[in-house]
Amino acid sequence: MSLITLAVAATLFAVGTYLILQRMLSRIIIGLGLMSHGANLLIMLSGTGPATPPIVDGSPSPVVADPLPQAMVLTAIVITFGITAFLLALALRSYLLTGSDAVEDDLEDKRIAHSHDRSSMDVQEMSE
Amino acid sequence: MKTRPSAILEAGVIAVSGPVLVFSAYLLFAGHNQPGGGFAGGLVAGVAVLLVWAAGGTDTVRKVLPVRSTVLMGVGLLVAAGTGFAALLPGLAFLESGYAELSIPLVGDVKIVSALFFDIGVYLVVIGMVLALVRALGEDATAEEVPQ
Amino acid sequence: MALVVLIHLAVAGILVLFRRPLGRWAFVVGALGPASTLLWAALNGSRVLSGDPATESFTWVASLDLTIAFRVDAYSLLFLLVVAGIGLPIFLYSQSYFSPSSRATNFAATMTLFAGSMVGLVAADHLLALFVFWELTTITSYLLIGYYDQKAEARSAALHAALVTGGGGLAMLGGIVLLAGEAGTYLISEITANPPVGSNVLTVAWALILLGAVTKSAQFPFHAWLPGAMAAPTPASAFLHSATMVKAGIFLVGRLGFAGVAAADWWQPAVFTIGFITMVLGGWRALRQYDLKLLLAFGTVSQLGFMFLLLGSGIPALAFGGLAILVGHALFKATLFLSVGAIDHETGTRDLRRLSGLRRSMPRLFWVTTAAALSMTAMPLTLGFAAKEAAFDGLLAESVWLIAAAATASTLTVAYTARFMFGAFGPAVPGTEPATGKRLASRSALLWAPALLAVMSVGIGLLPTLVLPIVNGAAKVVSGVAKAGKLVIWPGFVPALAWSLASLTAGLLLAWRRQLVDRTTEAVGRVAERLPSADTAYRRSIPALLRFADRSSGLLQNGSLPAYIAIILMVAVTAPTVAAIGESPVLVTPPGGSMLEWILGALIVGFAVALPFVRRRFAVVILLGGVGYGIAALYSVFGGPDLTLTQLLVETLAVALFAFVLRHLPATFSRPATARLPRLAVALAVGAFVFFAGLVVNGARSSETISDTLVADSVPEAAGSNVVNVILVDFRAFDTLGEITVLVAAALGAAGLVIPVIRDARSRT
Repeated sequence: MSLITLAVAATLFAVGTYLILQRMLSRIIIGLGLMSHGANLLIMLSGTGPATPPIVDGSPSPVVADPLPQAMVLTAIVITFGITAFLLALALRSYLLTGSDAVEDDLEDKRIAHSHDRSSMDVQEMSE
Repeated sequence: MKTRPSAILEAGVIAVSGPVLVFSAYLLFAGHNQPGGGFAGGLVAGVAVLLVWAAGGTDTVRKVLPVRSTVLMGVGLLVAAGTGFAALLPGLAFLESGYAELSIPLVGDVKIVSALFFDIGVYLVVIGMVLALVRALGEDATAEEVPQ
Repeated sequence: MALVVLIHLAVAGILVLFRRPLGRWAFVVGALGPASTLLWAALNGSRVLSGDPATESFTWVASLDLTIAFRVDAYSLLFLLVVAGIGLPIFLYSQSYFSPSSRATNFAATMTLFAGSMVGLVAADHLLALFVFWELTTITSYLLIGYYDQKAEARSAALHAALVTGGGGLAMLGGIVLLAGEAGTYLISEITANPPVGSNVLTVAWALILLGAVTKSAQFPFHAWLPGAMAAPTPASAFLHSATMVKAGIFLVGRLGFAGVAAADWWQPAVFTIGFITMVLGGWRALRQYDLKLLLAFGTVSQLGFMFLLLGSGIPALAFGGLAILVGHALFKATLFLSVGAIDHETGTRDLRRLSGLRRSMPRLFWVTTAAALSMTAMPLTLGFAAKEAAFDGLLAESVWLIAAAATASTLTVAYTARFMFGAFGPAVPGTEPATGKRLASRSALLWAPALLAVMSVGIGLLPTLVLPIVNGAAKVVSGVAKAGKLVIWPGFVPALAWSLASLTAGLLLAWRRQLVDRTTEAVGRVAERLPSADTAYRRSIPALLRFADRSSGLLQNGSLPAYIAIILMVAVTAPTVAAIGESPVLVTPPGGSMLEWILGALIVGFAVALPFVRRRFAVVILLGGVGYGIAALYSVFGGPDLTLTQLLVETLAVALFAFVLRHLPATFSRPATARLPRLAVALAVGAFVFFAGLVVNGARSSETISDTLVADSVPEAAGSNVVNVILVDFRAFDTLGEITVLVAAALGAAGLVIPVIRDARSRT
């Protein structure tokens, strides 16, 4: 655990968040990439900090870096790669089909958001 | 924009990919004791796929690696899961590993760990994934760029 | 016991499956349910009463402590007898009440299911099993109230009942979980034997459980659903909404009240207040009703308040009287409901202003009803009298205020009973169209079912020893006090008798001057109508709730992806922060870090912060790659060569994939339409949160890392020196197997998304 690495992780989260909060899918993917870097650093910070690699020869209790966060982060790196590839494919498809990779508003949700009339009808029946 | 793939580039890239693939196999087998393993090995092989693509696009990839990515991924998953089920036969838990020490002439004592087969499964899945992605996303969207 | 519940279930199933052949005798078939309960009680009753509870337990999920446990002691036995003893005549009555139809058969099946749920509810020893049966009664009650589903009134009444009792049931579930957490067990027998005390959690737990009981037993301020439930066919009203289901709440407070008193000092005042308001309010409202069923319903509310007060108080001396009242009430109230059902069936109305001359046209029904009504007013020689004497005796020893309150309610009871009797059997009010009935055939169950119950009312009144052992046994089980109570025809001149006689006299006076009472209640009622009532509270709260749901989901679910993400992130930031402020965590400042970390950190931050400002897509890809390679180098500082290797390779491949995709897209990003300042605010909040959370988490490790074992076991267990790889392929290999499955899914998904559109685009050029 060191202050500078924590600060780096926090910065990655902040910039990642900033990039995610808009509609262009290609930028969202970049933001997600930054955030997952930040998350991986946080996991690493729960370990021992700078140390020798966790490669042992069977001698009792050698002092090495914590292997558990490393195993988790390794998994996370590869999964993030898979997700990134999937999202890139999504962005490409969206662009080729619509000419834009922007995520439009969900029409069904918008309909719900403006449906005060509907529920007041339900209420009528209920209170009769 | 690229036109026809250069034959020299193609030959050169394929020549380089050979050692890269050897390195990838080394990472896979050394991974249990040294840095490496199925993920790293598979990704190195993926970089080799990328090099082949750079030489001549998806068609060259198809020519040099005439294997379906889905087969690679499927076999990989089967091998990984099969290793897990194989552990049930000698009465171990699912995916629990065992190992045996063999004496091979000229090579010497070799430790065979069943987890290696699991890692081979991981390796195949990762190669298959990269292959599938390169073939899908690396495809050109316009007709005139397709090499003859 | 499980067998009895299963018999109910099976009978209900058979009724639904063989609707046609059984339709004519649906209710007789359904009566097999209560009959099996009675048979069980006959076989096991004496053993249970001798203090040896009948227990059964079926383990379901042992690791979660989920068992289906039944435990029938004297207290459960008393309720079983009420459920089946009242249920059986009501089933037979229903056979005459309904004309055979497939809907009536469904009704019979639902009633049987309800009877089985009630049996399970009173016999369950596991609190979660009790909850399940509890909600089953709610659901069956909903179906029975809504039987006349073509009437909007019946539908909304059914919904009202289901929302109130179901909501209370959910609150109770929360209370049950909290209580079981404190007690360390879900078994009622263990909780009552050893009530948990001395924790703030218990206050919440008991409040929630009390809420469940209050809603179920129609206590103030949740009583309004019970009069509404009178939209049900009368047999259901008699069975569920006077004799059994509404007593479930009483059952629960009677069972757990002593444990509640031990844990919460507000329990007793709360029970007294709720019970008192309910019994006086119910009696008063009964005086103003014109519908005979509604009159009885408000009377039930009043009586339930009395029982709630007696059994929930956690005072041993009151338990006996409460249980005696419960038995008496079940008998006389079911009789009265069945009589009203018969009147309604024969005359087509329940309006007491229109009924006329029934005393002459239905003389036998008149005498049956009179017997039950006398018991309700607690006239001497009836069970009602003996029970009320026992209750007053207990109250008198407690406090003069309590007995004064009970006497007030008793006075009102006499008054509304008189209103009921004169209304049903007296002359019609001038100016209304009178309704007269015809003589009921003595073979009709419409007559003999209530007659049977009335005979039991009177018979037990004359020979109280018939039920004394059960009531005494039940009181002893819940109160833990062995002192035997008395049920007597005539107690002699004791102080409690004075209160009884005073309230009886006052009630008769009100009955004598009932025109004056009517005018008074009319006048007061006109004023009271403007005050908020439980019913209007319900009617206003439901639309308000729906409006709130509409507004809040309209606000939160507005269709915009950035808005959704911002909301999710702000919740993720705010909730832990609020929780952390309460805990005042320790911030541990770690060492600054090595020179190498500072250099790499500066590089990564530089690349990252530049990203939002760059518009050219390929520059963005290069910057992102720079961040990734920097992170890879940082991993090697942390002693993770595997990570460095993997990150480098992944970054290379990812940059290539980005390049693949971005070559199709325009060379520069367009300016985002989303406002910049709110994005910046959320981003800074997230960054700051991550930073401080990191500091807090850093100082919060409470147990040793398991990594030491992993490192030590790596070579001997898995024959591998690279611990990270051993974790991936051996110790946590199952996770890895899951991961590669996800990779396959992602790759197939990506290929599937892209290949068709690319081919399409190519064929068009």
